[in-house]
Amino acid sequence: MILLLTTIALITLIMINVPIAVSIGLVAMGGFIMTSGLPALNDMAIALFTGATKFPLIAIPLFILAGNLMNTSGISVRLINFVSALIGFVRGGLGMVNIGVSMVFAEISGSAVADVAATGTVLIPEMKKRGYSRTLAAAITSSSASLAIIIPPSIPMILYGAIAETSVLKLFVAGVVPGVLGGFLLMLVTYFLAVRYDLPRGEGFDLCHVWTSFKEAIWALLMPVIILGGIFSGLVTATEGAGLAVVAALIIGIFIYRDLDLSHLRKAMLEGVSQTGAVMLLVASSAALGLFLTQAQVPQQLAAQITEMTSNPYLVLALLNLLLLVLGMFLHGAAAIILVVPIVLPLVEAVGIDLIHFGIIVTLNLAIGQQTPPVASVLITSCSIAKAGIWETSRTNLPYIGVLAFILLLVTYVPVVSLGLVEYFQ
Amino acid sequence: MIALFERILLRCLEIICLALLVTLTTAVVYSATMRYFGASPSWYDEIASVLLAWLTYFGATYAVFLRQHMGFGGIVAALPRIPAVVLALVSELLVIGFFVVVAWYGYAVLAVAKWDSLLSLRWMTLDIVQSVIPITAVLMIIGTLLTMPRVLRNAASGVDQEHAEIEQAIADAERDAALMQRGDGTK
Repeated sequence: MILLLTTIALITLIMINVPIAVSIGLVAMGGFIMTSGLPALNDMAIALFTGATKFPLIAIPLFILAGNLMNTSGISVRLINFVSALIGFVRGGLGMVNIGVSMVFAEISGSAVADVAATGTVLIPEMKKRGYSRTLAAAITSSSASLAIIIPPSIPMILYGAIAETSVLKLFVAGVVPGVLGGFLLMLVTYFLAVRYDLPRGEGFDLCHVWTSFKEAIWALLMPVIILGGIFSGLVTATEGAGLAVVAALIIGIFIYRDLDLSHLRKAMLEGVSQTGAVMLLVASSAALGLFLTQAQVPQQLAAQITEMTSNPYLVLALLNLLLLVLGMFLHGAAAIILVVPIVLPLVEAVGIDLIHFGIIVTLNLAIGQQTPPVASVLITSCSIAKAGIWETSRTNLPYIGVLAFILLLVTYVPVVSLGLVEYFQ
Repeated sequence: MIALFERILLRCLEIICLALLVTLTTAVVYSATMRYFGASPSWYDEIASVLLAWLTYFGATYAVFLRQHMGFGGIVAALPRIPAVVLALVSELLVIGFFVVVAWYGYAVLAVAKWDSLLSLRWMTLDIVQSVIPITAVLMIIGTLLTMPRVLRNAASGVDQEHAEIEQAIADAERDAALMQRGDGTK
């Protein structure tokens, strides 16, 4: 009953455009007052503070800052030039370039919109010039940017790791195989569509050009190698890796590419501050809601009720996938993680689902959610750049969403796809 | 006069946020370096967590002034003018009401917090640390009030904040890409 009332109140507030973080806080406030009276609001005030002090979350502002610095350092353009020289000669090559660049570049910063804007504004006009329809250009850009959500480093994974109190490093490792596999499948779909629509090949393969563009892009390519290599090898923790990412982005932007002047630096930092504030206020207010729901025993009751019906983990995962897919249509990724994970965690643990495995499933669901209107900021950004209709693009996007859904099913029911690498590194 | 007040407040917030971000980044990098040399600073975990909380709330305040908090404006934007403005006004009042309560109770708990202090900095009592909640709650109320006319105007003309932000992000990226190309041409 409490969960139902909480959900209705939350949906109503969000629908009338109260910011999601404040909606969560208001629902928590109402819950505290109704169940324990006004003095319980003291607990809420304390939870609002402690909710923002979770140590693993320190990586969030730093990765956001590093991503913003990369966005303003011309790293995206250099990556595009290199990947284009490398695989642009294949039919549908420019679409594949788009996917390849997204896999390396996207979702580092906290704003998927800014990431898609950075790559999309360069690639989409070029794709349209070479005969790609507006909807296809938008669909490729959008779906590949969303897939990148499970390729580390990823802010949603850090959020999940902090909420589920599980290893962010293991989540990063678990995302690699599904992410790379998904990328190759998206490229395969692009190739088939390119043959079907008779799209032209890009520039011819020229070893000299590959070398020149590689020299230009080497530092951009080294960035993920340095960060992920440092984290995966155990040299640095995820938080320290985020700090390393900032230092690397600063050195590359200021001293190597020399595109990062003081005004760009200030702009990148202020955008980072605002994005951090928006995400972290959600985290803090959900800590207050989490406290209220836990005091009311809601997650435990939900777990008990569902395990009474079934304790089959695969059935429970199917139910959770359905819930997350529907929520993903109406909520931003970070908000969905922050809201849903604390409530379903006792259920997930009760039926014996691995928390790392579930983390990748949650993240993949959110990747699909970014592609499904009405709340689909990544898709909307791509459509705005391509000047394509959202619903027409959604139709063209169906094969790509199909790939994401296939990866989701694969990860859900063949756990070794995500956990294999984690076990290998242990 | 009000516009000037808003600009000054915004500038102050920018300075505080930038200082917090630089301090947090420096603390993380310093600690990682020292850990490598086998001398991890004992204050790191606690101070970095407090800095994160401060950055969270001052960053959230900055985002209030810029109206960049996540929301779902599609329904309000699609409504006719009068219901859209009424709902936008209700939404604004709810936001202000929330932060009034947070400011009140955030201030109330400081009386208890002052008897405790950080473990690594004994002189820093928890009321100073947690004062960020009532201070930023008041600032967020001011930010909401100052930017409310803009929001009501947008609601009246059917502008969705999310779409406006997307258009802004695209314009920024296009400008950056154009600057890059111009830079390449002149190099």
